[in-house]
Amino acid sequence: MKKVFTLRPQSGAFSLQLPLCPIVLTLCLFLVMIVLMIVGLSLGSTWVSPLAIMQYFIGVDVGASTFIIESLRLPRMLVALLAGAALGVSGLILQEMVRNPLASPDIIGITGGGAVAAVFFITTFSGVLPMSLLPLAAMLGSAIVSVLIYALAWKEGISPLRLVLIGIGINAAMSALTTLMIIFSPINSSSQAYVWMTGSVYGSSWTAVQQMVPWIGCAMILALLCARAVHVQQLGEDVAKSLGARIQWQRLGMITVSVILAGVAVAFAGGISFVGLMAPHIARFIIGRSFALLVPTAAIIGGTMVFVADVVGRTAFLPLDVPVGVLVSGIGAPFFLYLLYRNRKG
Amino acid sequence: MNDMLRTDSLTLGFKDRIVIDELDLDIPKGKVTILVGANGCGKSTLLRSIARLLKPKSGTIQLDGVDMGQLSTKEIAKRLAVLPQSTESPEGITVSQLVKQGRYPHQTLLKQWSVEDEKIVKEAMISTGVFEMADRPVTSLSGGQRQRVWIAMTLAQRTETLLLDEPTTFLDVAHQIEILDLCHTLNEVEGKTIVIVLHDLNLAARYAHHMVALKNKTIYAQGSPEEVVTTDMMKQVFALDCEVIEDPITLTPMTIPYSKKAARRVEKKVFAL
Repeated sequence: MKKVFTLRPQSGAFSLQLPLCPIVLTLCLFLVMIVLMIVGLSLGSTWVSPLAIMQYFIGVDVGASTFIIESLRLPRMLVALLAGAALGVSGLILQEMVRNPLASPDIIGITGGGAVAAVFFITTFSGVLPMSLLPLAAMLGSAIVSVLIYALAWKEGISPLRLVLIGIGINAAMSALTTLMIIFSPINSSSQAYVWMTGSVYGSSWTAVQQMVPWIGCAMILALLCARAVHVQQLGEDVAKSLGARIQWQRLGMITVSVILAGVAVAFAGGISFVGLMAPHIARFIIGRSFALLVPTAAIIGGTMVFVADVVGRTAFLPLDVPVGVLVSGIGAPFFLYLLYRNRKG
Repeated sequence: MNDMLRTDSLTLGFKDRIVIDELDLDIPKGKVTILVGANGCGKSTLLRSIARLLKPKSGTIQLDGVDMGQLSTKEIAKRLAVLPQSTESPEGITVSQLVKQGRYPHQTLLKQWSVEDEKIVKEAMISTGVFEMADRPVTSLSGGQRQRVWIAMTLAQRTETLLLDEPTTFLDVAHQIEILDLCHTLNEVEGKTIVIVLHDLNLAARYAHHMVALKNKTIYAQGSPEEVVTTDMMKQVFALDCEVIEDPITLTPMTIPYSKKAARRVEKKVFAL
């Protein structure tokens, strides 16, 4: 038998089994992420030594560097990390739900809905309403479009394939709508909208972090609770039903969690693509198929991808600050091709 | 109550097409019941509806005297296990991981892997002979082995009744016998009520206590294999001329169909004489 970790106290009120090796791997990845975060906080137009950063975290006063870490780099990094983690898990849940490795929130239109709402907000209300309402608009957009996709895909229940096809259609419509709005908008707001669409965490504040944490925290816990549903649904619709799974409710739950995660990410970091597609694949490659461990791993990988891309974006092209979405896609597109290539060989 | 499952004027269909019309069927408890019929006669549809995978247009299905509509799907899953016609093993899943899923209806969010679960999964793997392959990926197994793994999963459900939809399709004859022998043992040893949809009439006659032949949206004949498998039934249900002889091994009825080629052979023989 493979090595497993079984949690089963004497009382018998609680029991759980997880494969042992992937747990260790997940913890290793977490450590790698912490190291990368420290390095990432060091880098920038002003070098802050990693030692100073560790000192900052344990509460030692690091003088002038405090401002750079606390006000400039850390909130931005955390927003990138949270958005990436959310997108990674959102994609993971969608891929498992539709049982298709090519599903992700930006492909089936969830992100697109957020983009339409955000661009509409930027082009119409910029200067009228405060920009702090932009995340709310984007989240609302994602939610409305998701409901629309779900309603259109409903036909005596949700069939995953129908959902994806309708999602792709809606996504096309959304991107057309976004482009149209940009064309008809004044030049300054159109460039702002454009940066937002590619995904950017420039100028992120602690307020953003504070607003993201509760949403993402709750959704992550809910994602973990989906594990049983995911595993039973992998056996196919008929088998899952005959095992007593209420698959339509489970699907609704999974989509909701996925939408919340993608919506929050879009709201605060814009239309970052490819993370939702790639992070789950890398996680599966490392971890295997235990969903309860895939959730934290996809979160770590997605988060790391986005914040590393952002560090590169704000340091490698100085004095330019390249939007994070550009770099993520820059890595993402080749990876996507590699994935298809490998599938062809396999 | 001697009927495990019973349908009451059950009507099944898709959109406007009626597949099963007002069917009353009793499935005896503790017996192997085999449904036969021509392609498209609705035998799989009937099994799917008994397995609650298809909603009836009208009529009811009773499980041990209780209308299935009154029971929660999880409650049914503890009493009735189903192996659908085509199963797809998730990539990378190991034998033990798949068999473990059979415990799903017995588990809760908090109790995901009890001592009992572990014991039952092990027993299910042993009785189907897949315990030795517990850690192998299901996709690496042969068709016959894979089918035994899926049956092990339904056994881990610990139900009194097991429904199998054409469990021997895609298997060679040796594996067909192996799977049906396994069903036979499960019935003999554990007293399970087993319902199978099967194409092979000779095997059906061998393994069934009770046979049901379907035709024209309803039952054409039912009873012991001797009562059901007759030249007349073959003519009516399958539109095929046959001889029915006694299986030299099990003494159950065995059908030998006529065919164009057979006719020619007979002619040749006659001419030679």
